[in-house]
Amino acid sequence: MTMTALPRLREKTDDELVLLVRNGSPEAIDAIYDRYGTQLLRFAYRLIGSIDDAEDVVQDVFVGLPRAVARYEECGSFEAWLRRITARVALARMRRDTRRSRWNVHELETQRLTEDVAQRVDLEDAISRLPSSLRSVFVLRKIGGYSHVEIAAMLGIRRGTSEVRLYRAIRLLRTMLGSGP
Amino acid sequence: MIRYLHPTERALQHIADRDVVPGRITRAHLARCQRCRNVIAFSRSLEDDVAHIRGPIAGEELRQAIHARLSANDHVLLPTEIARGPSSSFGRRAAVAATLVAAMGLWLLSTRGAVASASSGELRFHPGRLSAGSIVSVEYRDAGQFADETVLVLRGRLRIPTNQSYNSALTQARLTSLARTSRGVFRGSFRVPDSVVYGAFAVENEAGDRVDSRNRELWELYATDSRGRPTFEALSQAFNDLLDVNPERALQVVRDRARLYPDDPSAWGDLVGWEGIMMGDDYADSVRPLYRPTASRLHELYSARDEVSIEVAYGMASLARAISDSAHPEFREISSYWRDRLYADTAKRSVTAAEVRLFAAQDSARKYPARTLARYEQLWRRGDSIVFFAANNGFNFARMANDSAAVVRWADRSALRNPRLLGPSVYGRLVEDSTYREVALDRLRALLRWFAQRHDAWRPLHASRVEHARDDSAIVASVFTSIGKALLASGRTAAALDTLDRATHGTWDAIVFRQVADLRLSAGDSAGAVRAYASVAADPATSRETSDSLWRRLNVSADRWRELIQEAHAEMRRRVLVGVITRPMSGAPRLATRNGAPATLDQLRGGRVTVVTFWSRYCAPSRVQFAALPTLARHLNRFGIQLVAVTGETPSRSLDEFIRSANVDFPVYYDRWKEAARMFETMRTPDYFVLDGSGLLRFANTSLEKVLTQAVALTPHMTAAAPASVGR
Repeated sequence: MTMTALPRLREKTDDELVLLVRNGSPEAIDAIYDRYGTQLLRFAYRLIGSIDDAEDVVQDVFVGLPRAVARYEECGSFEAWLRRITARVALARMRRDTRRSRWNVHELETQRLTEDVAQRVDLEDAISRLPSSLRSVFVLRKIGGYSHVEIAAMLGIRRGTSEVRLYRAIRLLRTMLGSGP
Repeated sequence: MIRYLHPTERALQHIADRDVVPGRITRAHLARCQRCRNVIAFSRSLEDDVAHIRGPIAGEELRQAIHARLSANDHVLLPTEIARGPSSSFGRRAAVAATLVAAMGLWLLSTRGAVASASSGELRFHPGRLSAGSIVSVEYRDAGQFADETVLVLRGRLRIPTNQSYNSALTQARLTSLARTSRGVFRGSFRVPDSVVYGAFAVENEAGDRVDSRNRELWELYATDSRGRPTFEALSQAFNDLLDVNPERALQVVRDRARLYPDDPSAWGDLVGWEGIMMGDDYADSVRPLYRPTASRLHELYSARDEVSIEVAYGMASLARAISDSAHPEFREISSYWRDRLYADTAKRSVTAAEVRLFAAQDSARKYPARTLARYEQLWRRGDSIVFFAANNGFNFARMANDSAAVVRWADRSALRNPRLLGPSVYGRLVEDSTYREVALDRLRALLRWFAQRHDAWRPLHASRVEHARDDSAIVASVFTSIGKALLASGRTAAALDTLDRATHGTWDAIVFRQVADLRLSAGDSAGAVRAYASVAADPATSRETSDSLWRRLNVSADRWRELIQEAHAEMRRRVLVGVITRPMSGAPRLATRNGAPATLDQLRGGRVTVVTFWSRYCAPSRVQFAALPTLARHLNRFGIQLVAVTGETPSRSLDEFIRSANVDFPVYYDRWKEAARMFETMRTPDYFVLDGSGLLRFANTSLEKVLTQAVALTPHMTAAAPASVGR
């Protein structure tokens, strides 16, 4: 893989990159990684709670991408499609792993400590403290943007259960962040 | 006065998510209630705050890890679906059931499979769907293999809703010519015949000696509804077609069908069944609970109706049975309920219900074969949708009932379904019985005339004419063998000898060589007998002792005998390797030993020629052949060839006992994650494959009878040992 291909590929649209991946271009996979890798890693991390596991999830997504794009039809959002796959892969891993990892806060990007940042760190910590059943729904709804119907299907629960878990998650966050009961 | 309470938290969440617009009273309450407004504001602010949370960054180390796995041809099967955006014409109807299928997540797999060649062209259809009577325009862009052609041919296999599973009874047709245009692409068109809902396609040159079958995956078209969604019948026929062409793609199709038609029980029944076969027991056990809400919902929906179709009743019975277990016996009751409805008065008129009843009553039917045969006759006369096993069952019951006219009649019906594959099999069985020998001989001779006419319609889409002719010649050889043995059994020795010679021309069959040798010796043709005996001695299954005893019958020196055997070895290798393929099988599927320790196929191969066999104790032919595996293993070991026996079952004490009873003294491996079955693209048992020393697949889907010679032919040395007895 050469770096010289990347600048040219940065201007390509998602659909153009998909076509290049279908034709076996490793540079196109790099370009997609540059464009969405961090976003997918963070999404997986929110769901799964472990940096190592989240990196494994992202690895699997990109290793499986050349074959999976055969089933992608260019009439939707490629980003949403990638995120959906990442969610499923992460959920599969969570179902397999009974072990719970502590969030590895040392991996977080360091930032100047402002009140805002302190609040965000608190929010991140609060999300990490949610029970996994509530956290999954919260992350899928508030970060992934999935509907309750879709979340229910992903997690094998009823739609009503998904709605209940979401408001319980938010209520818990509200309590933990001191914003009220 | 009615006091207005706060809206529930759930309701407030809906308002925060903008899923609902608050009514007049709620708006008035929110205007007064700071607490409820805070709840809504907090929830909405979370979206912004969460978006600003930083987190880990996907860096170079992760990128390098990805590329290392891609370079190692690591394959991951991702849980995709027919991906459509929000404006998808596929819609999001019943998305709970829909994404339940694809969102199992548990079917994330890591497997190492064959790398597909990149030499396939591009085939496009317009419109991209099948509609009876319509014209479909075809455009093909060549990837280079047809550079010197001006005209190509589009061949297809077209299915209608009543076609059965698998492709053995279906023919292929030339649909249209594709002419090269000035821009280099090939164009043509064809009219869609009536009732066709699914088509599989390949492109070839006019001579049929070069084929683009998209690396055996073929191109497809579906009938669609007004929303552009593949119809249920189209997806069903796709599933039927893919079962023995591409089992993994069949899994994808059956998942899509359940997603798109979540109210159809047969969609779910087939999905549960095929997932169990493809993914293994562990997976099936883990996802069973996820299907229960669907089964309950469908039972509630359909049990309330006085009339349901046979397909619904059958689908419900199958689905409920598949997901029941000791912890959920209610589903066994549901299955019984639907089985009873299937056999109820209205269902008796249906051919399908009659078939199901007959099939379910197999065991008791054996006690009354004549009565059962009469029912099969009724069934055959009534319907054209009879399932594929009925012809074979009719044949078996006719034999049990000793009804000779019926035996021949059902043999003919079975052979008609596929003269190429079923004809030799059913008449080959019949010819062994002296009662039917003459009529079976007539039928076998008619089959030879049929083969001589080269019926191209039975050529699979992926096969060139040359490959098909080679396969045909192996089948023709088996027909000659059946005829020769029948002639021998009826005392027509000269004709038998001539026929058996023709049977072995170009093929390798040590049993027939032995018969030919004995016949020639007894007829005084020593020279002919010697060569035939040398072929027997050269066969890998022949022991040193047998070889010596054959030599002692003959008047040849030890050196000459050794020379003849070496020539026979070379001839064996030449004939056997005519059918060899070269398919890369890079990667290492995971297998498990009895105690759960992992092993990869590469580790087991150890750089040697390896025979991989898939077996199951639940398959009768597989059980019988399993007992022969210790002998096969001993023969293979003499040539340094490895045998890897794989079962899809999980280890259990009953399985241990079964293995012990077969005196198996080599390790058995467990394909718990179905990675090996997927890599070899087989869901059948028994099945045999031969890998050469470098890991290339050289023989696929072969048989117990052939696998020894095929594996030995790949070994670099096949030295003939000098006879133990020297001098006379």
